Amino acid sequence: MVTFSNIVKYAWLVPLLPFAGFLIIIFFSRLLKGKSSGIIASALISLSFLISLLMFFAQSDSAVKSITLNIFSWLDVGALKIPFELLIDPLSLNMMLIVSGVGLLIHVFSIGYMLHDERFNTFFAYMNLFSASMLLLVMGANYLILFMGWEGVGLCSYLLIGFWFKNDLYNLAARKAFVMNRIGDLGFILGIILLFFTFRTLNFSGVFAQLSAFTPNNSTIVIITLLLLVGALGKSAQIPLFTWLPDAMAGPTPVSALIHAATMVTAGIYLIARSSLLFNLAPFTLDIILAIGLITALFAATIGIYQNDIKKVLAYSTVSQLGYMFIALGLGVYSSAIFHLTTHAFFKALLFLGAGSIIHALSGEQDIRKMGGLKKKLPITFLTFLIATLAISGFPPFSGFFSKDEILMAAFARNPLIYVLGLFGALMTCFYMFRLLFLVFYNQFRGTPEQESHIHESPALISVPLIILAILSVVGGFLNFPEIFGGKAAQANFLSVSLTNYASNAGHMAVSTEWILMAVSVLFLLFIVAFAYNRFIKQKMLPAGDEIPLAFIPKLLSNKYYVDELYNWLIVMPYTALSEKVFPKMELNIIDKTVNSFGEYTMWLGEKVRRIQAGNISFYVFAMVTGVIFFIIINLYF
Amino acid sequence: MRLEDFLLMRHELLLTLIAIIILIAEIFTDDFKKQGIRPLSIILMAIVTIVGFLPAPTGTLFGGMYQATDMRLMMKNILNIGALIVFIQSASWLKSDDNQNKVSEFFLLLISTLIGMNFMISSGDFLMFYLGLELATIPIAALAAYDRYSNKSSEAGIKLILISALSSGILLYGISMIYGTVGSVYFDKVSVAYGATPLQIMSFIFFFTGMAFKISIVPFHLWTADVYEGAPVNVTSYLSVVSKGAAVFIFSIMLVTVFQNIAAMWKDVMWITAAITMTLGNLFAMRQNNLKRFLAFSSISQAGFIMLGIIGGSELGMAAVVYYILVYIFSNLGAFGVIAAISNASGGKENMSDYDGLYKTNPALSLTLTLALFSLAGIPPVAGFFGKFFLFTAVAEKGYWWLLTIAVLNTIISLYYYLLPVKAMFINKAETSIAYFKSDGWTKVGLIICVAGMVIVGFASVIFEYIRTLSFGL
Amino acid sequence: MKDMSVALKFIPLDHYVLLCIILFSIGVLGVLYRRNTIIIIMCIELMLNSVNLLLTAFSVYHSDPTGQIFVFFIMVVAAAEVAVGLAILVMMKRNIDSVDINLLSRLKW
Repeated sequence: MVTFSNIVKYAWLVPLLPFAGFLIIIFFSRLLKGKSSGIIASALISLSFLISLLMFFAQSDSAVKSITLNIFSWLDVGALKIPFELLIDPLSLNMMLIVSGVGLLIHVFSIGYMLHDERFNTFFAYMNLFSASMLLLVMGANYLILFMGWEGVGLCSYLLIGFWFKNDLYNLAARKAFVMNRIGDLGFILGIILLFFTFRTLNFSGVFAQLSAFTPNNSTIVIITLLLLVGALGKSAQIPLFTWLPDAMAGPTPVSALIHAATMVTAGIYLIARSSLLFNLAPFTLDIILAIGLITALFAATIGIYQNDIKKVLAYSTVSQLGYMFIALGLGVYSSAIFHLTTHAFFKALLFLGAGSIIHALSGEQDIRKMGGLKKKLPITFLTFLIATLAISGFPPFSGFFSKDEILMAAFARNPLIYVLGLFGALMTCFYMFRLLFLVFYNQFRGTPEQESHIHESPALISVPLIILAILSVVGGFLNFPEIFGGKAAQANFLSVSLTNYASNAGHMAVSTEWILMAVSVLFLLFIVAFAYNRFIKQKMLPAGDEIPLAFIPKLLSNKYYVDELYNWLIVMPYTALSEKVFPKMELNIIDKTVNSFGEYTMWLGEKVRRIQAGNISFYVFAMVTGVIFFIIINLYF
Repeated sequence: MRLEDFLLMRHELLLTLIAIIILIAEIFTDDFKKQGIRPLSIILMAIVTIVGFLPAPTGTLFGGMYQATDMRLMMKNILNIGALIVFIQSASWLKSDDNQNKVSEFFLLLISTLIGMNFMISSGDFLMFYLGLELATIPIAALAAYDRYSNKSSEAGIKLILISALSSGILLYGISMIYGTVGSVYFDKVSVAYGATPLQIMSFIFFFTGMAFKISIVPFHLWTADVYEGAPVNVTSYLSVVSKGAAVFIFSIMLVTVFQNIAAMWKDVMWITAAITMTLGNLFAMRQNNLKRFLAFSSISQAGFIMLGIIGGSELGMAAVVYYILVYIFSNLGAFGVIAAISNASGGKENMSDYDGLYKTNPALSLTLTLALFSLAGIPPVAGFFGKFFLFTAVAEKGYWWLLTIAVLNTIISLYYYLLPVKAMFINKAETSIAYFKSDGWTKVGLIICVAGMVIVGFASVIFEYIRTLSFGL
Repeated sequence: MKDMSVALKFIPLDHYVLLCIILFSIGVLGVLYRRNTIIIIMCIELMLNSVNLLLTAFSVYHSDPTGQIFVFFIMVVAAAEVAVGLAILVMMKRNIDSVDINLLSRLKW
């Protein structure tokens, strides 16, 4: 009999299997020919998925919903006790299923997609390492293990974005992602340190157990939550740390699907949801989260309207959808955030894989102005892409409708203005997604005839994951079928063991209001689709070419509000100037002059810039003597 | 003195014994059999290392001049491990044509420095301390100049001997003043009578300078990079790890015992120097292209981090220092081991640009180097993270928030340059990257020990707990 | 012997200390300003000798032999140090045909 407590004993296998895959592929890289490394990687991920699934079913029969599994005592230093523990509870199970399930599909997809890449083996090694880190992240029972996984996924993301390292721009993108994430990580580290000094433990349960001693908006708690929020902002690509995500599309498309849509970017959401009890004590931070989420959702959606690169559109859409999840977090309805996270993982992975399939079919073309009319040539891709578009736009009964609706309802209960803004964002989402759909699949093909002759539907390895994800995108909404339709809100109840919503806003609304709001939003959506149809199919309008100057607002939007330039101007340029100008100057003027005044110690070494005779022992002695005198003086006279 | 008392000194006596064995072997072997000295020395050293871990009595000898405590034994064992790894790593380098006829000299000189370090760590008075320090320093100058016909090597040797002679002069001056003001050179007497008169403060500063030179703390660090670059890689690795570790050990012991009366003062001095050392070490490391120099500067900044634990001054801080040195031995020797292997195989390629695309040709070596650099940088899963974490906890415990902030910022800066070689190996493309080569058995064994050490020391919390149980004489 | 130490104590300790400070400083300045490696080594010896003198003086004033024993060890160690230093110096002379430390600039930034 497989009981929950029995099967949980094997939970450590879940992150370990992909990690073993990474080691196997790295060390036997020379022996693995053809598809074998992809098959190994996928097989190991599927085992992880299977174990997670078994745990899920065993858990639903079990009375105990959450088990902490102690692997070994990790750090045990006086007050500091950090065991290496895994926490298996509804929230982590939910995330494990997403990571291993969607991860498995993307692994299978990648076998077909990356087959002709010369670094096929390395790719799968990285992918497996990523999966292992991500699973560790969601399974850790304390903040330090979470952080370990957090850093691991960051590293893999860096490696995978720069996977095609022959392109310098891609390397820059990888570096940007890394730096932005480091800024977030700094906040996270400080948050962990502060957590430890406040609570003397880093275990989730240990921290949460002590919370009753704090009053809401206690300043320590607010600071901790703000620091954790900084970490989440970096990982989940929210304003102001969002610019790395669109650039991260430089990586291979499956990477974008796995890391930058379905899993890694949701780590920030997970962190906040996991700390829900902590954030409930800091309404101030929740308001900030709400504001950031709202601004990001709208901001990114407006940019998405004017992008012409298929992956960039999807990237901004991801940022915008993550913004919705932040709105949900900010409203304190964590379960809705996780619900949207789940459905988003399905349809956004599907969209990215669909985009990958299109790019594959068009031999690397990513500009939607050069696509069109692909509906007949790529029927499976079209159908799945259509489903995903409907899902993300929020048409009933596709999954996105339910999850987004939950968030919007909660927003309405808080303040109708938030609802209106959120709906506005949703409508923009609908517009740019249908713009994408129409431009890519309808009308005539606009690429070169040579490209046209090569167009072919992708092989089964690519299309099967698409179909499975499409099914999930359709039915995903029924995971948490709302009560208004006679459902049981199954996922929210399931998660209630791990999450405590700040205020169950949604429940207090009159049923009639809810119906009216839904009807309004669907009506608006239909209107937007009609508008897009008229514009892009009837009138066959095309986004202007790069050479044609744009009006002010479109120009602003297609250049992403010049945020990159702003950051460049504000941070990168002064910093570079500092390191290029000031440092050599300091070296030349201060050190060099000091040394020069002791004339005989220095020699001018030709025309080289670095003229310090630093190999000179006399200077070393001089430095030592100066040091001694300096210390004597400060200690005797100060 | 009873015969059993010699057991207290078994580290030093065993090392002296193997030095004599190697000397005899050198005399009685023919020229063409000299290569046998390499495995002989390594095996002997391995035996000494293992014997060192056997339980042993503790106590004092020579009226308190020599002290054997559990903590000091632990420190000696850590140094033995480091020396053993250096021995193993240098095996393939010593096989080359240039070095064939001076194999035993290398081992003899290394063992004599190790004996010096052991005496230094066990010292109970300034005389023993001074003798140990000099025995640990002078042979290293000869080692730095090991490549007899290389300009760089001789330059490194002369720089090291001059600066070390100068700093030992300054140190002695400090010791003589301590003797003058206190009237004794025994640590326990000095610690009681030491005050904060101007002469004593001066004497401490002089003493501090002498030690700061060994640990290479700014502004007494300038020799480090030159000597590290000029000396043969294996000597550099020994210098940066074992030699520095020994100095840190004895320095931390002395600060918390001998100079405990003026703790407030030396903590201020250390505060400033630690902050400057970390920052300057980082700033210079950032701009290096030669990997040996790069590691030299990084080791300067590491010295700054190590000082955090001493400043913390608590039992946790001291344990953190010892633990960090252990971690540092594995990480730095891992990094140096890879660099040495590549330098030997490729005819002296040591620049970062030479490492472009190394991952493609030599994946195992690049992964090892990556792991070592991660450990040095303190990225979580590896041992280095825990080392840094304990050090940071130690200063945080005492409320040095500014210092902690500086240290954390420096850690982040250091991540940048530690990742540069990683980037070169994994991401940069190269027209001609270093071709694939097979390392010989010794190199492999050395690197495997380092990798295992980095992983095990990080995950087995037993080790840190054990170090913590050892009384530090506080 | 007893008379000797009494006789020595006629000179105040301050004088010894000052003399040693002067000698030590001369040594340090010599290391700083000289270019010839041999002279630098001699200057270091001067520093060590000032230390020796200081130790002996303190030893007499404390009526404690430790300081004087220390001096013997310092002399021995200094000799060893110089031996190694000169050996390396010979090597350097062979390699670059000079003992001017300012020529030692192959290793730098």
